[in-house]
Amino acid sequence: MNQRSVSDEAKAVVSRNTEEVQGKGRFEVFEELFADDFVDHTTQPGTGMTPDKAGVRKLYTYIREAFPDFHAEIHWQLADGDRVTTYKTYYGTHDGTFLGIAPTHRKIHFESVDVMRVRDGKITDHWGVGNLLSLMQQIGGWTPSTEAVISGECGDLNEAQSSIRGFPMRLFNNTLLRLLLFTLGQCLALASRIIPSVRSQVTRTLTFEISTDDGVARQWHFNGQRRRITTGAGRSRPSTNALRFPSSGAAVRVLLSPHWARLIADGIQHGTTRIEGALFAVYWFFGLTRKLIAIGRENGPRGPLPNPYLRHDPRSNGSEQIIIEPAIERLDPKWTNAWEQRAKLLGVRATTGEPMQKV
Amino acid sequence: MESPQRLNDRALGWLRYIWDKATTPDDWSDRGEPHPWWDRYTAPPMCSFPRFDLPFMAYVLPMMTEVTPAWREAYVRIADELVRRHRSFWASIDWNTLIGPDPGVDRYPPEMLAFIPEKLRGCYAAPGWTGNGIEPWDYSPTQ
Repeated sequence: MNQRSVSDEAKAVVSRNTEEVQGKGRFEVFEELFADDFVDHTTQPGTGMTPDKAGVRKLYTYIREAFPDFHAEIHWQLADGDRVTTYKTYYGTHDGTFLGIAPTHRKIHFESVDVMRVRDGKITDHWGVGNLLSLMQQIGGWTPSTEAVISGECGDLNEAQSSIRGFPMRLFNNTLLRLLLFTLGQCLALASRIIPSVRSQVTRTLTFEISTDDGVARQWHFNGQRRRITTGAGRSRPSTNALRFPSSGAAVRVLLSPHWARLIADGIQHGTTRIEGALFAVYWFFGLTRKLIAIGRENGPRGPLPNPYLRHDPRSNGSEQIIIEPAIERLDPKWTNAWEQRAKLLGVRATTGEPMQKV
Repeated sequence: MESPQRLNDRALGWLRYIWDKATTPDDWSDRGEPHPWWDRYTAPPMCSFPRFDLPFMAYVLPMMTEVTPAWREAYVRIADELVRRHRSFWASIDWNTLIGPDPGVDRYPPEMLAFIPEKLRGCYAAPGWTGNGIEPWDYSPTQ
């Protein structure tokens, strides 16, 4: 077999591993492609993986559990005899725990360059590096310190300079958000004491939290029995419902936007904004804040509605005679059958907080 | 587009379903209860009542009649059963028993409030609450 044939065959084996094993989780192909005496010369520190075939299989399995849709895009491959160098970008969604980071459901991507040696159609050796720092940053497992950014330790010069230029803005957004959330928190707590239309919405006991990845957090406790709201700084433990933003700037934009609902939906779509608990609680909470921050609030008609049907008008019936039954004001207490059937209306029971079991 | 000459398998299954549903005896008076397959379980905030199921089932009948007019006995029987129920207590149970403004209007859970415009939360009855006799019969909130 000539040099070109060896290289082409090696590239085909490596590509198949990337696409079928890493990209689709086909471990029967893994067993076919990896030599039993395989050696990984660059194991990832801290993962506890052994530098052999079993270790790689364990690593692939672990990654697929953390990123179920894990797949790669190969940008280019170079082959030198039986060794193949591949530059690729991995993609996935963080739906499982990865290196101790709980699922964030964010879309991630990171680059990797690796070399694999292929002999007799089997992968025998591996050397490689992956941009795991980028991955950890995307899932909130690592944040570059200000000192590191300023001294240019965490990226190229342009990125560091950009971070330095953005620092005052981040500080401003951080402070503004803390102030905004504090004011909102206190105002909602006060409103639950004095504004009936706010009290009327506090119908269930639950906790709601707004937090950001750069360290701002505030929580609200809704007491359905007392119809009161209390607030506090920091994260709630446990949090029943939470809205988490990637940065203070993003949170401020949403809080002060008339299009908050669309912005939240966009954030969820792009994996930057996360919701824990119930989505309805987020939309309900933001509606509640609009009582205090009337940005984007829909105004009702100021005057009476035009031509409302307020009472019966005999003239509207024309010349014919229509018998109008007298209006009743309450369900007859003696009509026991009707009361019994009424109790079976689950839609009504749901609105009154009654148990939903069949009576 | 050429009109179909026969009901396809899906339509036949549908017809069989509504036949079974309409002809299964149940008591829609105030002494009985509709068979469980009549809808009154749809999730809030819509208050769903069996009454809504009657017209929803009827929509398909004219279309089927166009295709297979010879099956008139079956279609008429189904329509008769729907009409018979339409005159019953359960077909208007909300009008009969939910009198006046909803007393639980300020106790709706947040998942229901989220569907109501913020301005009207706590004072606007759930969609479907007909509230027989409510004045002023328009969408004027009290605050």
